Amino acid sequence: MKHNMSFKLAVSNIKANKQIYLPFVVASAITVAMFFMIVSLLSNAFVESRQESLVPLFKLGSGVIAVFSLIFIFYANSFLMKRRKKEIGLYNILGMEKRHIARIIGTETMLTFLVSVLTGLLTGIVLGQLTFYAINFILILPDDFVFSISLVPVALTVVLFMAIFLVTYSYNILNIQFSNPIELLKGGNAGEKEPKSSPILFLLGLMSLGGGYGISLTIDDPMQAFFLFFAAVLLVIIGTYLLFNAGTIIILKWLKKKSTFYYTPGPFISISGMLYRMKQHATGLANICVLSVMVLISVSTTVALYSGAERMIEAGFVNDNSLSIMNIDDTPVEEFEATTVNNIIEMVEQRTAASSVEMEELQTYKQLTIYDNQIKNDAFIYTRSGQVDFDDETSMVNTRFISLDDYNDITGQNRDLNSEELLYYESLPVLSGDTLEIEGIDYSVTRLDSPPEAVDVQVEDRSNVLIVFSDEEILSSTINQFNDYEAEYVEELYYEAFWNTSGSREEKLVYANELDELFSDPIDDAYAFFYNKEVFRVNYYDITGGFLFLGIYLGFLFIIGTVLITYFKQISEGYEDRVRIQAMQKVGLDSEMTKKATRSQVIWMFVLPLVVAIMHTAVAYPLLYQMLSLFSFVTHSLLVTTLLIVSLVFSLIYGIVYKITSRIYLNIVE
Amino acid sequence: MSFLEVKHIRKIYSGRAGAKETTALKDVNFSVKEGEFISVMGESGSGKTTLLNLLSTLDKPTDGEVTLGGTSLTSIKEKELSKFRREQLGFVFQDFNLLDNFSLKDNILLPLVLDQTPIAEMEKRLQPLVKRLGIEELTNSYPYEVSGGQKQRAAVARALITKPKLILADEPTGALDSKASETLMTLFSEINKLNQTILMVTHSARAASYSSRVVFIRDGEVYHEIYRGDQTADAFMERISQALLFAFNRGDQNEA
Ligand SMILES: Nc1ncnc2c1ncn2[C@@H]1O[C@H](COP(=O)(O)OP(=O)(O)O)[C@@H](O)[C@H]1O
Ligand SMILES: [Mg+2]
Repeated sequence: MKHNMSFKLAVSNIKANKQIYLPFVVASAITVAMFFMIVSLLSNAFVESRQESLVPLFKLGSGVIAVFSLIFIFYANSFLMKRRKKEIGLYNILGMEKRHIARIIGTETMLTFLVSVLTGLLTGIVLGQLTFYAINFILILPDDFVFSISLVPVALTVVLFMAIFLVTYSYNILNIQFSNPIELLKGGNAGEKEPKSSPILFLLGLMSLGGGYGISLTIDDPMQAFFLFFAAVLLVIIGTYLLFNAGTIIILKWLKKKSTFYYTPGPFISISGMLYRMKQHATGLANICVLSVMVLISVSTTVALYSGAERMIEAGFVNDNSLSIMNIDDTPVEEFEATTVNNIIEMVEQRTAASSVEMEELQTYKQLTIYDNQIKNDAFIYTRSGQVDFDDETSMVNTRFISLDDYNDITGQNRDLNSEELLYYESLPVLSGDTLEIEGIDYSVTRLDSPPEAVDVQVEDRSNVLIVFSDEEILSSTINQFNDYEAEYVEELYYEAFWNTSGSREEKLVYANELDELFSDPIDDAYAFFYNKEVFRVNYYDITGGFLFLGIYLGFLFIIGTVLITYFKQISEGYEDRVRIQAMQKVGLDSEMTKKATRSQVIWMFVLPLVVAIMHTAVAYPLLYQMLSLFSFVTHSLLVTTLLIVSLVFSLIYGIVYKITSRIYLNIVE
Repeated sequence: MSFLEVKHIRKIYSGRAGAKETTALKDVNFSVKEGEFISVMGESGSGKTTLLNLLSTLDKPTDGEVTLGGTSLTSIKEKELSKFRREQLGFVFQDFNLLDNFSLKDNILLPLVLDQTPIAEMEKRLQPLVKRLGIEELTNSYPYEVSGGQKQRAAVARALITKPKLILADEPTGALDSKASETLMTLFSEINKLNQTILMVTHSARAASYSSRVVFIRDGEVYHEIYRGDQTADAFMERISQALLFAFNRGDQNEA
């Protein structure tokens, strides 16, 4: 047989079987794209220079996706071959030798390989580019953040998929070699036995899942969580595959034994139908479940990280710019304020006027902040007084002191206090009565509902207290009393200035750099610390951006994977169920009953992986919380809300995909 | 009025747009009495399967009418067709049409389950039937575990379990060896003796010789009928063969 003859035959075969070849090629092209997108990160300039620590994670990700690609393409190939066997058997009977058949199949495999890899690479390049744009849009990463295309990832992708296609090809050829034409002719329908229930696999699955769950539920140390995470993931994945395989079969067989239930139209058709191909179904379902968990986890942790970061930035920066001025030469307070502070503020105003941004109102106040004090029995205990009981965590407070003048200035209020009164705010209850004793003086307390934003200290899990004295003298004398406890330690008042500016983010960054330079050295007898929200944001994302990026990227890949598998599963199973349904319609199954029976089957197949995925995610919660607390500002309420919203949105997306693909399924079956 | 009447039916397949029309049945006209066992014979492409599809309500005639027990098949609403098929007709197919995901028992019970019959009733009908068909040992086996003859007997059991008015069989021996064919046909004639009406399409003169009447169709028309009367099966088969041969020759002459 001539080469070009087998080429022609292969092409016409693919055309004749486009019903099944099309989903196969679409599915493998997307798998190629997924793999290409992740290996591209390994040689990405941005990743290499900025996020080197993430390279091992990306390598792990590439490995996972490579294995997934193999499993998936094998799974897809099994559907394809089952449908092709009949035709191959026919060739064989018509006198075509097996080696000729092998050549035709080889040509077909080559063609599908080429088309899949080419379209996959193109898709990967476009999608990769788009994801990078999208991520940059959210995260504001530096200029060198681009999805570069280089030879190595392309070569890696081509080699991997060449290997995978070669493996499936060899498998198919061996399969054909060892079966006789009659078996081939019977094709997919021959010898498909009802699967056996295997309690051992079921038990192993339970143990594996239990182990994974156990790790998550007993963990209480973030570092440990970080290391055990992968072990837990692995155990849960194994458990999921085993349980989906063994568990569903056991349950279906049990349902089948309940004859009053089984011998009614709906269950009769759907239970037997599900049981019949449960091995394939189960793998498909477990695939969907595992990918869904990955989507849920990667997206929610990313969103939690991101909103945690934004919350932290918003909390730390009520205003665009702030300047903390510290007296470093023990200049008397009034003199320092009149000369140095005024001088610095003027410098700021001049600089701003010369820059491209415009200053909105600049405000100042003086404050003293002391951490780790205690309020106990309605008395304030200074951190260095030697009387703080550090074991009593619930009464520990961080405290900020200001004067009434400044308070009125900042808030625009016009309050009045006598020298024995103070304004008081606490974020968590520590003071029980309405007097507070500070260094031997009893003040009567007027509670504030909320602190002025600019003055607020935000640290979670500890009460933050703001104390407003009636005048600056009381503030100074209290500081002096604090300073008497330890000779070598001096508490200092800070002069705070804060202001917003107009301008774009880029303009603000340029402006911030200028001021940063201006205040990098001490000015006169002062040291000024300049903070800018945008600079902080950029620096913060420089550190955590890699994780956010990874989360978004993986989340996106996993969503593609879930959609892909759902689509492929519905189409391929549609063609298999169609034969069965049509056979039953011949003996009196009406289309209404068909719809009812297939609908209940379809709903089960929809709900099962989703519910299990959400359950896995819920159990993973402690582990996720611990891990996130390693490098972020995450709270339970934030993480729970995020998980709930992400699960909801994902269920919706998955629901829509499922709805569309089930319609395709029902169209095929009917 | 006869039990089954086929009144001047015509069937034209229009095919896809542009494709030319095929007249599968021109004018077929015959009737069947209750308790008859009829074979329909004819060359390949003569319209046998088309006729059977019309009788089994899987398709509708272009013209003409089929009545079963006085009901016109065309008057049955689309929604009730499946129910009608399930309750009034029993089918035996050349390729058995058994479902691999059901045991033989479940395959046989399928029409009853679809009709929501109580389990006790299903069991009551199943037992004597599988016994009579000689597959009582096999009820828990799956189709791929039994032979072709056994599959076909299970298919017959499925056709009979609803106590249908009419059994329709399309080349039921087509995929069986001669021994299994003989067993099956003996079974058909036994069932027929219990007053079960059977209409069977076949190629084989041997199979047809078990029936009480043979209808020959050609080019979409009934052109000949012979009754068995009280002849032996062998004698009847001889006559059928001759009729076929004659038809073949006459066809040749006509076309020459
Ligand atoms: N679905 C169809 N569409 C178009 N033509 C058909 C269709 N089914 C059968 N025919 C044509 O009708 C004629 C009769 O076919 P059929 O009833 O299958 O014959 P038989 O069963 O006797 O071999 C043939 O010419 C066949 O090609
Ligand atoms: Mg036919």
